[in-house]
Amino acid sequence: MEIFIDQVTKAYATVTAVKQASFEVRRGEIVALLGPNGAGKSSLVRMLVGLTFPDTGSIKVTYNNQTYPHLPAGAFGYLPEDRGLYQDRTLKQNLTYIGQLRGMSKAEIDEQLDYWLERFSLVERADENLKQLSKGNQQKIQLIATLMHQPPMVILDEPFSGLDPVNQEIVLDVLSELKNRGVTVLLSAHQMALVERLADRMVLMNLGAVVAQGTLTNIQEQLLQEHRIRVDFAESVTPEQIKSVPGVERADVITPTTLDIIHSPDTAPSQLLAALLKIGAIQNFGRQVPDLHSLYLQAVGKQTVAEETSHVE
Amino acid sequence: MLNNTDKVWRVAKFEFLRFFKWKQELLSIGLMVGGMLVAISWGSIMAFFQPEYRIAVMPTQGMAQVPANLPTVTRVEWIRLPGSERERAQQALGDRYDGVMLIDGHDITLLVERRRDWQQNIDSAMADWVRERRISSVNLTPEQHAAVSDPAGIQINVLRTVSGETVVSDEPRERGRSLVSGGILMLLFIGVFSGFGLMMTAITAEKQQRVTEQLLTLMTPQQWMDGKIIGVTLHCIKSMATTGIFVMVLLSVISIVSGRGMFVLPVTFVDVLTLIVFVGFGLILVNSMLAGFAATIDDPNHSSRPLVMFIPLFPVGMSFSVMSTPESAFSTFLSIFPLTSYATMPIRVAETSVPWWQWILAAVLLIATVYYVRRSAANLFNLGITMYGKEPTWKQIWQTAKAL
Repeated sequence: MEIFIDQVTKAYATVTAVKQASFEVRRGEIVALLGPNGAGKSSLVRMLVGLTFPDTGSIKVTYNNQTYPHLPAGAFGYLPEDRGLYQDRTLKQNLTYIGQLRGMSKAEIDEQLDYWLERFSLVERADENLKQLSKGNQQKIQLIATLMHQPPMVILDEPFSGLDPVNQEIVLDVLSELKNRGVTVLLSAHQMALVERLADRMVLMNLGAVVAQGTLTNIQEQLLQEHRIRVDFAESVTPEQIKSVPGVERADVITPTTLDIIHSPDTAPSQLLAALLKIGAIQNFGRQVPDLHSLYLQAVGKQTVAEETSHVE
Repeated sequence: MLNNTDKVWRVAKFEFLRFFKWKQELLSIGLMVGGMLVAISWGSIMAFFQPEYRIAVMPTQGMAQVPANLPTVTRVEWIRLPGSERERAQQALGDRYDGVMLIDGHDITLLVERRRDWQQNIDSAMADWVRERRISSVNLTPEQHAAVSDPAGIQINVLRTVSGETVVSDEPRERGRSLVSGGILMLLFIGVFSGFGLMMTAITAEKQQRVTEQLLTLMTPQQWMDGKIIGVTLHCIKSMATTGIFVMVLLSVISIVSGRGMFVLPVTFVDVLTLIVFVGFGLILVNSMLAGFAATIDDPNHSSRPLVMFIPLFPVGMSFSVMSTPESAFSTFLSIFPLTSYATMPIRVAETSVPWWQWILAAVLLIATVYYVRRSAANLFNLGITMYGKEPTWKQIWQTAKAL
């Protein structure tokens, strides 16, 4: 199953939730939709699963040599952002009902329940009403409901929300297993550190638009707004000495012997190293790449300000 | 993959079982038994606790003494006093006496502290007593006396056709027929009100519990709506059947204990067919309307829309007028009009002869309306869930409801 999203826009009464978003999800990939609350991730997911439809642009889903305008019912698992099952029914009744609606036989449902309840340490609580479970355990039930029919594609909207670190690791393990089994996964989240470890590709969104997309390296390149190199000299140097080197735009002093050097994009690091060695002996020379979270904050922070300014205007 | 019918039935079964709880069923039957027993024995209970009323009876100036043959009135004790005691008796009102009755020939005055129901018994007994005294005072022969005493009236015979012959219907049967229409009305109330409560829970609570998105990726809004409507309708029918059977059993027990034999309602085949068609489709219609309305409510605690959900209950109230005048043009209209026929046609069938073409026309219109309304309900549901936290406007509701 593959997804092609092309220039999709979706507006509600007063808000444009998604603005000309384009990206793809290839078979067997884990793709993460990243962005803060209100970035448009859930709106996009709802269009993908067929709950709403794009105003403009198109969504194409290819599955079993056929093309669909959204994910075909029954061929995917969906963990919605708005979690919810029947609070006054037991855990088993809830999952059995979902399984039945997915067309699973009683034997298949029982087999899956045995496996997942054991895995999530919920066997003892199978006959308790959902409202008696903690938020984290309810989250696990939702995940079971999403995965119990072993779909070829899984859409997870904020799978880590409400989970403690231990349970976040459990979900990461499950996602790794899905990846190993060749299941295509599209997940939305704002916990970038968790997603960085798992996703093949990422789509960063803000204010409804795609800000950057690709592998972690691609995104770092797209979002990197300055080229920073950290240099440890054997002896102390002054910023003025560094600034005199061709291609250096700025030098931030960390310690008397350590500086962060911001250079122009068209200056190769090797050229820079050669020039710096003329100033003094160097013990360490390394590119400084901020993590995805910091890069995203830099990029989104600027865009948010720009948007707000344009709104004021 | 499940087909459309399988999915609808899965949802219907789930919705039915979701609201069917054995403990509650037994509790409600227990409450019904208790309520019925209290209702049956209410008269005896009240009589047991009713006090004895002491009425001082005395002649006025026009009479020497109180006549000896005062009527017997339940729980009333006559205390005969001479006319001279009037002032003292009046002062003892509310204390020693509950009333002071002054007799002046055929004029009787009852002095009391407050108006109360028990005084009606004295009023009616004394009116008969005075009438009898008046008749006796004109020296009639025994025949004349009997003729004057016999109340005037006409005999009303209800005719019905049995095996091609016209016969006079007996009184118990006619009382039974009235019970049939009254029973239908009572069961309708139970069915419609059950649907009202359950549909609110089935849809608005579900929206609040955020179950909606998960399930809507498994089936279409129409499948979900149909399943809910059928499930809740089955629950309404269950409530009606439980109550109906219970009342029949109770009436039979009372009838057998009182020596009148087994209680049998004079129900005809047409009654049963009408009940199945009109009440069955009628409940689906009402539950479809309720579902549509409920789907537009985002939060029942902060919405004025639940009041609108009472609208589908009005036809049941209108059926009262049909019971008293089943042959009127208005009753005929109500029994054919599809939004009211489910409640009024069964009453008309139980109360009078309904032309077959009216029955067929009403049934066809009702079924067509059910089809339309259930489609509208699914559209409204779809509208409600895609607005995410907002309630649709009346204009949006109207445009969605009328689109097929």
